[in-house]
Amino acid sequence: MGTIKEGINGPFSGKAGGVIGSRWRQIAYIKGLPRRKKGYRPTAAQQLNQQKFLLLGRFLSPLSAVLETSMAAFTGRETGVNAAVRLNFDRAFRIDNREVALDYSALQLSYGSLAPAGEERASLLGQQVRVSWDPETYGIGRAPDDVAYAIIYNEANRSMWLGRRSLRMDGGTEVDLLLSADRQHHLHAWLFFVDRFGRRASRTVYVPITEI
Amino acid sequence: MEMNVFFDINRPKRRKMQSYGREAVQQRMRLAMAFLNPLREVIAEGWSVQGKGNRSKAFGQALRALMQEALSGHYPDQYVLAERVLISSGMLPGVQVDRAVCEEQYLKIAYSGETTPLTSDSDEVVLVVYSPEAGVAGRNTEVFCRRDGQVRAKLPPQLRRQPFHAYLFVHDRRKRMFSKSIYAGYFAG
Repeated sequence: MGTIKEGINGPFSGKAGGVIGSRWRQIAYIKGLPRRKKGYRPTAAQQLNQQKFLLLGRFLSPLSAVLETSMAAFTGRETGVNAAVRLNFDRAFRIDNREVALDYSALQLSYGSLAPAGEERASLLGQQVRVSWDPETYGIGRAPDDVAYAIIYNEANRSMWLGRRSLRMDGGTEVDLLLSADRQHHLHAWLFFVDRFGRRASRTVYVPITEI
Repeated sequence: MEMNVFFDINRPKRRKMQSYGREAVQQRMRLAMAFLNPLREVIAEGWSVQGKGNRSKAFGQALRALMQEALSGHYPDQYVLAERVLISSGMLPGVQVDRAVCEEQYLKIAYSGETTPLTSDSDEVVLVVYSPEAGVAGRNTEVFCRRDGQVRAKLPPQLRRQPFHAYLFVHDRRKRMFSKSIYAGYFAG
């Protein structure tokens, strides 16, 4: 049974007939009971959007903890994953004749006014990826103790790794991978920085990986 | 009898059209914010006198000055005139740019200036390099004084491959007085 919490005009919580009242992140919602339409077939545009949501959701959900920090500019009223979906929905896809695929080089996993490092490089050596960047601060928009986040993704088996904790002044980090020798890999790397308070983040830079 | 209803569910709610003037002002605000946002740290210092020590008030003053003086064009083709943007403001006399040399990793600027009762040889000169397209800025990390006659700043890697703007301003050693910034030029990177 629904309970009115803040007077006659206030939000309520629980079920009242066909309506449900709830609260999430201090936002009051009223929503209808779910119902399935008979004979529902999505249009081509709806199918495209559903595929885009599926691809982004599948890719971003393992990163939810990281995205809560890297999308801190937006996470007051939405989750980090939701903010990342919104940021990437219109720009991070390759659409070719109804075939939708993620454009990994266009993905943004962070947002903010912190400056990216520059001269980012990544190299694969055996089971380890070494990611390096320019450690200097140049006086504006960066600090030596900004925390670096290096993320590696293997497209072949959809596995993901986060680099060892390192700071901007370190100039590089290593990411230990678990790659099976008998399978083909297709690796992608991204790098971004978050300040030591976890409030400001930089844009994400896609780093092509060279094999040594 | 026909009922007079306030809301008809079958009639779609029409989105109120924004007026031309309102959209133009919104675009001016967006352009100004996008230009100044990466320079927040410098502006908090350079406009600290106008902001009365409050960082966000200082940024607001810089934003107001940019919107009044450094925006041109008519909606929807408005743009920022980088050479008219002030990243610092104050009473201290500034310097004049004599020569600017852009090397692979450094921008060097030679300057000269008049000696007045307000100036001091120990006033510090700040050189700011900035690319609004890349959203990346840098400044000199070594200390250069008015008497040195030249200042240099190491370029962030992103600015070594693309054009950028350069600004110069002066402040006293205690950072109580600032000069108006001067535009030192647009460099190819």
